[in-house]
Amino acid sequence: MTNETRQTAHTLVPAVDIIETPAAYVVRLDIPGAERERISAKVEENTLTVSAPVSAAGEVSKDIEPVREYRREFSLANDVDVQSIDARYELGVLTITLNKKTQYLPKEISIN
Amino acid sequence: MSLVKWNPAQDVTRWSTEFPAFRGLESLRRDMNRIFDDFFRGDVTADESFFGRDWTPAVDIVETSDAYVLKAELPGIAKDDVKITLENSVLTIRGEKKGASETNNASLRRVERSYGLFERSFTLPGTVRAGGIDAQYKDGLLTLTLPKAEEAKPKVIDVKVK
Repeated sequence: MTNETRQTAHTLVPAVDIIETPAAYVVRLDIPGAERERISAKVEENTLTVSAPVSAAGEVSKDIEPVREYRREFSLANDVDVQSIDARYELGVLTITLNKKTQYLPKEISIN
Repeated sequence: MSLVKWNPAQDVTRWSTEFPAFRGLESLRRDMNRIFDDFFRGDVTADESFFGRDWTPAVDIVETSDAYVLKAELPGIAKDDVKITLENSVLTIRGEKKGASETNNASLRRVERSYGLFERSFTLPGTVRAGGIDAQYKDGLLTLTLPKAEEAKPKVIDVKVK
């Protein structure tokens, strides 16, 4: 039996806030020091994986290959519309907005 | 069913995640822990307020041959919300991380990130050239470069072999 894991000693698990609004889930991850171009966010079989390499603690120079990586996975609920996921990166915080499918949005029913 | 020893600290942690009103208790508990930690380490500073700090940013410090480089993780904090002061060889980084704005009609599913005031102080060795301190902020990471005075840099002395 093999215990397959992609985690290494250098994997950092970013802190996350998840907020649910009537129309979407908003996920915020703290990934300070990550560069926008190197952040990866992808959805595969209802799992959202976010990863970003960062320089190691002691690296002052950027010439050395990063050896630390932020990584976190999220299982998405059925109501998430994977076609309309939006991600923004600012001040070391990655904000991912997962819109809900229209059939799950709250509806107002008028009384005749 | 099993008997589990009551752990008040754990209860406070649980309450504070479930009920926002108890969040103050959690920070009080951390402050109390910190007071005792600091007491035993003996580095409580007089100007440090007991309740003025809600979280502590992670910091890495690296020493090179000509400088100390301090990196503080301040994700989600605007440059203008961070204040760096140097007073009597004590370097202090302080500021506030403001909470999320959308609370109307939204429910918090998970809150792991820290909010509120923070403050961290470092006593600099006398060998730092205070006038040459440089601060950069990028992608939530504050990098302070504290150059060493000329006389503190390692010197290479050629020994003549006769």
